[in-house]
Amino acid sequence: MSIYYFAIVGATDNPIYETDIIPSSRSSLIDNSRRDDHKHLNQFIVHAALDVVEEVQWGTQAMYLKSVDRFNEQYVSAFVTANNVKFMLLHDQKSEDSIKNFFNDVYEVYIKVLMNPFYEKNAPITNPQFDNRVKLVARRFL
Amino acid sequence: MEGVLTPRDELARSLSPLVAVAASQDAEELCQSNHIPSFADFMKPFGDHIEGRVSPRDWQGIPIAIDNFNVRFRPLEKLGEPNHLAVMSVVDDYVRSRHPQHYHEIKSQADVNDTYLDTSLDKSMPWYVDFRRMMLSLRGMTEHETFDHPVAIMIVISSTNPDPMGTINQLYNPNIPSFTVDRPYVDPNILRYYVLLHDPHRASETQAQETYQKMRKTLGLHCHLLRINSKARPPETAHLLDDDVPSAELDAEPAIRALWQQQLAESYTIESRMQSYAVGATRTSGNPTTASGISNHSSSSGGGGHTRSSSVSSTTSSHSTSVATPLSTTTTSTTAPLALGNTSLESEQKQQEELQQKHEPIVDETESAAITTQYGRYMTEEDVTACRGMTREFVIQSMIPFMERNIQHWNEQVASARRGLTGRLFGASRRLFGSTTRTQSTHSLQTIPATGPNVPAGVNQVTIYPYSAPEAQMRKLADYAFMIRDFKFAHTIYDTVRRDYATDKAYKYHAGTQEMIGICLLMMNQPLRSKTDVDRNFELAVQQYLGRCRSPFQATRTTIMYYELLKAHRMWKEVPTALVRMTGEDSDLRSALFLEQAAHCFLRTPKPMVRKYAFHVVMAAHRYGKALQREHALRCYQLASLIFEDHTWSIAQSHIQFALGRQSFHLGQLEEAVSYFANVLADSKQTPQQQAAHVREFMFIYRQYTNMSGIDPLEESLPNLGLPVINDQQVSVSLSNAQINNTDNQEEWASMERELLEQNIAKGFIFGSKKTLALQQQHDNRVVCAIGEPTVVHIEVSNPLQIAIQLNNIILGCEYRESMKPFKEKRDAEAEAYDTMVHGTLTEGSDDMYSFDQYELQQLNEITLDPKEKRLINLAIIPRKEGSILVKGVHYTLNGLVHRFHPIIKKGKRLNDTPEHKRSVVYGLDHTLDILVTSPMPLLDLQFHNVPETILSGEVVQTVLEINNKGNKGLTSLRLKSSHPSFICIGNPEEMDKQIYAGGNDTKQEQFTLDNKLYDPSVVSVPLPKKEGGNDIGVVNSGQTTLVPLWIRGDRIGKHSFKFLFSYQSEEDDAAIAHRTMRYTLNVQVLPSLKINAFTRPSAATINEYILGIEIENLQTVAGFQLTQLNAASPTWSIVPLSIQMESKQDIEAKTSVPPRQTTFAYYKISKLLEEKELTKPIELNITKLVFVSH
Repeated sequence: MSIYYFAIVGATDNPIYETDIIPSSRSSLIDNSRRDDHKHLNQFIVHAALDVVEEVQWGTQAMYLKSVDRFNEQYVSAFVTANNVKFMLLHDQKSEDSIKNFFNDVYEVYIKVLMNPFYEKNAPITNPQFDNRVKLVARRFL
Repeated sequence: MEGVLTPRDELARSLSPLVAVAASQDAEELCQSNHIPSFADFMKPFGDHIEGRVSPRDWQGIPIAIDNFNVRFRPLEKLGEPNHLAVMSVVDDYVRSRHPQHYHEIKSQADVNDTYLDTSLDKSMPWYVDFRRMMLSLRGMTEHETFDHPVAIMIVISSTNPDPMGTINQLYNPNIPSFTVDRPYVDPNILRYYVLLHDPHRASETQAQETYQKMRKTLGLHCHLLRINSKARPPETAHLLDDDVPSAELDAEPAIRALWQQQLAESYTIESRMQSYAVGATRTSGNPTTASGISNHSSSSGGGGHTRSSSVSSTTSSHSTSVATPLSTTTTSTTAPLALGNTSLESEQKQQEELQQKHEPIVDETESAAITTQYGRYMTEEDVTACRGMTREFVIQSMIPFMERNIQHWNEQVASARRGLTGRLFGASRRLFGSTTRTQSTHSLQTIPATGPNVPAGVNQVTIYPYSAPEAQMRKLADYAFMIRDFKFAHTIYDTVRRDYATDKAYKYHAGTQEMIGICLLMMNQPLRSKTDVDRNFELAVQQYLGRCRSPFQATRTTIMYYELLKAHRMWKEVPTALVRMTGEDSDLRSALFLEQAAHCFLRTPKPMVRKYAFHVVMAAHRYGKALQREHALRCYQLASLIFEDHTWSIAQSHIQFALGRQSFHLGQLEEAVSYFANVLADSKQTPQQQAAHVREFMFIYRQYTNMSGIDPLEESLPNLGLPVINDQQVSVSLSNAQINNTDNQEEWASMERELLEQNIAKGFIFGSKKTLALQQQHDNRVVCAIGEPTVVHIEVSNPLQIAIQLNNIILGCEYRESMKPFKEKRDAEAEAYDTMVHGTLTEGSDDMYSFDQYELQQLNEITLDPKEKRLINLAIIPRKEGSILVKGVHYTLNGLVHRFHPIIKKGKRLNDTPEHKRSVVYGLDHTLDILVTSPMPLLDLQFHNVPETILSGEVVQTVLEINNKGNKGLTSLRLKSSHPSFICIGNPEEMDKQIYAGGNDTKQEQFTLDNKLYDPSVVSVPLPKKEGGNDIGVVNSGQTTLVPLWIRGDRIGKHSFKFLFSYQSEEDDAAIAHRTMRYTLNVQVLPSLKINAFTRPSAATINEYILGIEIENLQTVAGFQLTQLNAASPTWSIVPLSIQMESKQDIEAKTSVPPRQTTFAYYKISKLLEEKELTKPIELNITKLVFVSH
């Protein structure tokens, strides 16, 4: 089961964007129903990891916090933006560099959403373009 | 006394020296007459607390002061290990019987307050305390540690015994003690202590003394004469062993009784449960040793690597497989964490009922037993003191010196040789070169056949060190040191012997020493060098217990002890890792207990980790659920749901709600189950399969619930059903004449209405009493409807799910009142949501209108909403009586089973008048759903004819406005306000045939007189045909139609949507209503046509003449234009063509046609009219027409 779950969590602890990322090379191998069973588990894990992120974020200058938490065989990597929005990625393989690149690129896309004057801070991002871009970035790095 | 013990003491006490007890039949009888089943039980309370300070000496002879030393007494025949599965099943019963008193509701970090933190974990979760006590106390001899090997044996006979020495020899054979049979790892050389139990009422003092002296002579100094009373105090009247003498005097003294009460009651409970468990196991499997009877109980089976697989090896229990396999298959499949089982509820319920029959809960058994049994009935104060004295004497004078001697001895003989460099080298060389002799030597590893109930499947022999092996002696030395609480010394010994175990690959021994090293480090009264070291020790211990030894029970105990020590050190952060390590699939109950503890530890870290807590509580709940501890599962899910309350993590949230629903259902709390399920239903983010499952289970539970509570599901409303989604704010009411799809831009319409009303009042169309009425009407903004006029309520329903849902019997819920005044009271949606279904009688001649007293309602029998569909449903009301009808909501039945009334409460506009309003968000009342029913009124119906979709810029088109009065009264004072006045011109009905461009061929000049003043062109009166014989007001009678011409001019390029707002009045005055309005929207696109530039310059010939040049450009790409006429309107000027030869047709043709994308140019002369006139008002305009006719 090698899929990624990516979530952007607003400063008020609400998920503003969620997606499952399936690497194209492996998409055929993953059983769909099994993935669905884990949907809520992903949320639980990422939600719980927020506690750790809040602890780690004050100990470093970097925005990329690397892998902050793990649950069984799954790791949670985090990235904290300037206004305390957290990017959380649930993954099962450690590859710090690619995740870092992924976060940085997503950050850029996210900043573009943020620049939209009609986008309210911490509101869910429903923009389909954003979704596409994130998936594109994911395809490149993950 | 118990309260002051620190967890560290508690732990040390649980690993205190064990004393085996062998009592003769007559000695036991003495205890039994005191209502204590055995001598071991009799001694237990005294062993638990040795009075005063005990100071054993360590290996260097330095005394260690211990205030709360204890010894554990255990009957000789019960030294073996209890069946671990039986222990777990007892724990299961205990946990089940404990119900949470109250719990702290943690919603956010702020809730982790002092009241929460001050409540100890033990207090808030007593079931864990039970679990811990069980795990620490129910233990027996194992090969890898010696804590449960007896240090001493107490041999007890009674003074009434006729043959004391013979009995003693019978009781205990020092050469081959019974407990060492099949257990070569147990040291038989233990301290023997002889007790002569004497009851003065049964045997004479001299007889006792005689026996005692004889014992001392033959058995040595470790003898004691203990006097207790076992008969009623007036000995003459009481019978031997009689319980049924009812006398208050005979009751045991409470203080004395209390010594045994709790302990005995509990041990009795445990005992009987274990017994019944064993019986049950025998019955189901026919093989008590493997106890596959509970393999269907989820605690024993599962996907974990360290549990018994279903392919049981043939050596131990081949005949039990046939029973175990079919049962265990049901639970092995659920390996995924937190998986929502897709098994349907029905089957699950059946399965569960079967299982639950096995677990009759422990209901107050302890208390009832305690009250009836008079423990220590005949014991006196002196007896108790004597017992205490004896225990102390035994410990201080016999047992501790014995242990000290052993420590000294082993330290010199075995341990010192192995410590230090030389020792290690010797050990290495011994291992390297002595391999040939090792096989014969008794001083090394042996394998013996495995026995006992706790042997993992597939294992038929265990590797052990016999008691005389140096490795075994080292371990015993360390354990002894630990017992006398010399943790530092114990640590070094453990550390030394650990290496030997590691090289010998004696994994269980190794794991045991790892565990003890960790415990010693934490028990030592000094700061920790490294937290990770300790954790590493425990991790290794647990891993090896689990992986190599397949002994999750040991691993569990290790974890419990580690957890207790971490708690004592307040190392909250390390706790969860340690506990979560032991949450494998093999025992759901244990995992649940640990997870719950871990969750609470997250709250005790310096910065409370609420979200981690939530996650672990959910996992605990999940495990409780799997272990069929429904109440605990429900409680944990409830705790978690508090944190996920805010709906943002919706999938997690609905998982919890769904689980809550299931657990409440299993607990028979159907009402709660229904409401939890209702919360889950509308979750749009789930997968279609999941949603289908939700709906199916909800339907199933709701049917059960309604059956059970005698509710008709089609009548009573289920208030919080969220399917389908109805947007209250979008609900609107309109009259039947209204244009459909004309609901946007409400604000704009409202302001137009306001302006029209003001104009009408200013212009005198509405006057007198009507004025205030009209203003009120405008203010209320209610829909006005006349009796008999159908009114339509538009409701937008949407299906958030990815599966289709069906709605039946959709009908409005309405309330009629006499008053014409708007409804001002506050409505309570929650109370109204319980409204029951309404039933009317079918109106004759109609198939969907149902008649009620004051109105008729339309009922839709069935609609199906496709996945994600949004649909507008229209429901008609026909009022039958004057007054007001309030549309309260809508009734419907979901999927033919669940009826629901959805109250519709709209908010009015946001108030912004007072400072209070500005500071907060306050909404006004909304009256749009409050229909005002009046006496018959005119009802305007409109139709536009001949309206083109596109017109050219500057083009004028005549359209016809058809005015139809559908009401029952004459219609008058029709006024129109339009949003685009410059596009619109309304003519008289008589002007129907008027040409658009007047004039035709005649070129003569005309004169017009116009009012030259400002007015609002957007509000005009629509002329209506005059009534014959009546006054001059135009009226359209009921049912009549009139046609009015209306010209539209393309004034500006672009797409325009014209808003027409008509207002009209009844020809008779009405008390309730001044006027009615109607809205109409028309969409027209204006296309570009010509671009005209013009300039003038003074004529060179005469004064009062100018040259006008006009350049006309055709912007169309296809169509050509032909100029037909040029008019000049001015009070003083007239126009004559200059460059166009009006006589020559060719010239006109050439100069006046403009082909696509071409430009023409022409000069004209402007000259002043001859007669000079005064400029007067109103202005008289001269129209000069130039007609270009080109045929």
